[in-house]
Amino acid sequence: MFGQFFFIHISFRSKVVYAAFGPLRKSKNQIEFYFNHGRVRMNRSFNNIKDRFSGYVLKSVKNNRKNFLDKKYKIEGLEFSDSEELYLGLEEAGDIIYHLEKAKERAYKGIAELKGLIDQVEDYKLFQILLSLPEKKKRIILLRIFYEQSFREIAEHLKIPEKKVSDTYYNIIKKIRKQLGDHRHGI
Amino acid sequence: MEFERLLQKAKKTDKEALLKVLEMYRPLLVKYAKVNGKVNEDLYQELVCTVLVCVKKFSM
Repeated sequence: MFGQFFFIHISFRSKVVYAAFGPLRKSKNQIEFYFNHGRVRMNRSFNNIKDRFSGYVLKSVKNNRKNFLDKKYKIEGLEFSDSEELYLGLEEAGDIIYHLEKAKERAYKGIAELKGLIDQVEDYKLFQILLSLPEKKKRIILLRIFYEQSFREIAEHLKIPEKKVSDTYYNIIKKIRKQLGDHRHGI
Repeated sequence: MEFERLLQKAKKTDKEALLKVLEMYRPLLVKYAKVNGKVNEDLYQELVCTVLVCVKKFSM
């Protein structure tokens, strides 16, 4: 009877687990029988509370790490592409500051200057879109973005209501976003 | 079992027991708090929170 069983020594986390199996392909009931009658003996450490708890902690730590990193990279990704948008094709930050200061120094005189400003946009697609806008919209965009004027100032310059200026401005931005294929912020 | 008692104490929010449990799992937390080879403090904090929640939720 005893000869039918063979013993296997398995080392599990440096502790030895003794397990005895009968002839292979025993039915489930029989295996349970061996368990209940001590044919299969395992070291107690196999299912003690410490190991169970460690496993639980490990699993949730891994999951939380994953969630945290996902969130972090998502936020960082958004931040990065936002600042990228600001560049508008200009290569260096110094360049931007230089152009902004130059633009600020010059008071708004006419549309002739605006054309020069549009030429500074190096992104071809954006350039095309800006050029294709009607003259009035083009003026609003350029006054707002390149000269950093408030809606009220623009309204005074162009002699149209302030509300209309802001509405038009946000409409144009929305349109440009759509044409550039950018739906990220849903504006 | 020593650990079992410790965990039971920790479950009742015994401060010392909680600290002991955290001390025990510190190496694990440090390992998983690393991002690009550097320990990310925010992530570490998050993981400490995780362990505390685990202690609370674990059923013995």
